[in-house]
Amino acid sequence: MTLQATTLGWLIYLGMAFYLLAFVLFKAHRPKAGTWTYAAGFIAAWAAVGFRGWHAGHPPLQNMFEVFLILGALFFPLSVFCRRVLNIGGEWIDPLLGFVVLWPAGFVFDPQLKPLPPALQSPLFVPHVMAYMLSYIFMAKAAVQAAARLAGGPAAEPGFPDRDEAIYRLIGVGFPFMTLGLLLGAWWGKLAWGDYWNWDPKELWSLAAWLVYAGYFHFRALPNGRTYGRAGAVLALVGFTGVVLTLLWVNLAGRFSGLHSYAMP
Amino acid sequence: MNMKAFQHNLLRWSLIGIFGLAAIAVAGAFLGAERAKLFFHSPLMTAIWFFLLLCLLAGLVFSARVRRRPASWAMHLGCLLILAGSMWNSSDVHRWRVSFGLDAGPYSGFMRLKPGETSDRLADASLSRFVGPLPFSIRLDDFRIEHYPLETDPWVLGAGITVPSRQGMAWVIQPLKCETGQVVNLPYGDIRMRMLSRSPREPSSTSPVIEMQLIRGADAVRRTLGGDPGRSFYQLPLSPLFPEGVFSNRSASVLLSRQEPPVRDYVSRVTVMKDAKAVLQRAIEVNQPLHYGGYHIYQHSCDGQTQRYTILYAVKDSGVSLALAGFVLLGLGAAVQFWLQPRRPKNGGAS
Repeated sequence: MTLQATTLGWLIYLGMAFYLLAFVLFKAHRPKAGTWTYAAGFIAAWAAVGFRGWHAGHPPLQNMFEVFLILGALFFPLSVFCRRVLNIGGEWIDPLLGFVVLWPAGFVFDPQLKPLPPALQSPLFVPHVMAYMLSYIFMAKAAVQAAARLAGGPAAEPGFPDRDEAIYRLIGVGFPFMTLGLLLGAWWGKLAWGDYWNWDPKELWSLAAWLVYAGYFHFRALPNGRTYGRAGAVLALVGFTGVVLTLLWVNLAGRFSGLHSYAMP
Repeated sequence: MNMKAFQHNLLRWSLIGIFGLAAIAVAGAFLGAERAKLFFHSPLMTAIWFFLLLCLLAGLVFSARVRRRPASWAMHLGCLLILAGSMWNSSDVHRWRVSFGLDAGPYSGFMRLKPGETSDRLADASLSRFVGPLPFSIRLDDFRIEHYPLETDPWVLGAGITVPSRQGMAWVIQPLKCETGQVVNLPYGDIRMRMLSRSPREPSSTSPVIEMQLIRGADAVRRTLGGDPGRSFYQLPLSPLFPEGVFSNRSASVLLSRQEPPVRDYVSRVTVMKDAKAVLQRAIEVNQPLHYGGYHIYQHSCDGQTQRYTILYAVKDSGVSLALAGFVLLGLGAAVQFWLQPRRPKNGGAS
């Protein structure tokens, strides 16, 4: 674990501190103060993203440090979207997720700037990675709902639909993003390497995760499939496990080196 | 069996196919890309691909749920087209097409070209075995490697040892930060180094001349590194200087090496020749392949920093438009199905 005593590092720590404080305020039933603090964390995280992008000279999505930085900065607007548009609760835990996601950027991954290798200089770079990042956050929120469902907590938060419906709505929004990420990546692979699909470990993990979520929708279409809420929640968790493995393990473990190794920290 | 029961069974078989493929994809991730590619093209997997193709086709035709929702239908059709296009674009199917006279030319291959050379010959990945001719020729007009500017001094003074790696023995170097007059400890053999002088720093293409004193106990020797035009790596082995020294690695040395700036792009300017006439002229770069005569041609690699030749990769384009149409249908179908027409319960409860 390394402390980053730089402007960028302090911005990340400021964002993390606001996120943690927002979580505490939400837990202490101070939703208004929690929301404002959460928003302050969002501003700090985006300041870090902007600072990094300005220094890098390109959108900061190149390596694990930058990807986790962006992920941490995306939580607040998606929390608001989920509450206002999807009518889904659980906003109180989102700042904690943001804090957890910013942690590796603040303490684990190497923030050293590296120039973009030729393969990453593509107009598909930003849409491919951003589509995945957005999908990952929705799937993370679905996994939280699924974990609460399986842990036997209340069936629904007051004023919000039940957890099975929340899981469905979240995966329903995240799945098209994941599909776009997969398709844009395949098309980019065709342009850069000559094939849509290179059987690279990261590609295979991402396919597995996509298939689990596709299976989730097919499962719900079974006769009485929607009544097996626990199974749906298990699928949401299994799919998110695939997401985490796609994002983290494949990049970190030398066992899975492949065409996506440039994203290594 | 009535239609309803058939549809339910179809859905169950599709679920088995989806989760089965997910499990196989996870298993494939442990194989590494090369072995996974072989596995996913094996007869067993070919049977599974056909099974999935059949499930998709049956879903499009028989599933009422899929048929009554255009977006869902488009998603399933998109998957089917991607699968069919990829199969049609595979090297195995290409071989069959050639044997039935439906296609001609090699499926894929590599071409090594020096500037001014023209060739239509494709070779295998080792560039040693001829795999077939292209239906046109490619002339390499120019090849260059573009670099990012180096923001630091390209010459690095360090202490290093050699260790085994996949590519043979490789240097592991620890940079030494040392100004004139300063003394630093070397990480090997209880040796210290005093920088006596370093000159000149410019121009950076020629190495600086570094005069140093190496000290071990009461012994001290003076040595000079660098200064030869055109050389980019200097090694001063330590064990011959101090034979009594205890070195865990006999390769321990003081090194002066030139860092190569990071590569920004590889650019091959080519002219496509058909019947001895130039028909197309353009640059092939990473992410910008050339498409001509049923082939996509990619910038694959080169001979490193000397830029004497480029290596291009050519692959057949059959089935690509089918798969691309599938991409569009699947992407649009998913967006419309889940974003524009989501099924929401009226009361906010379970749908």
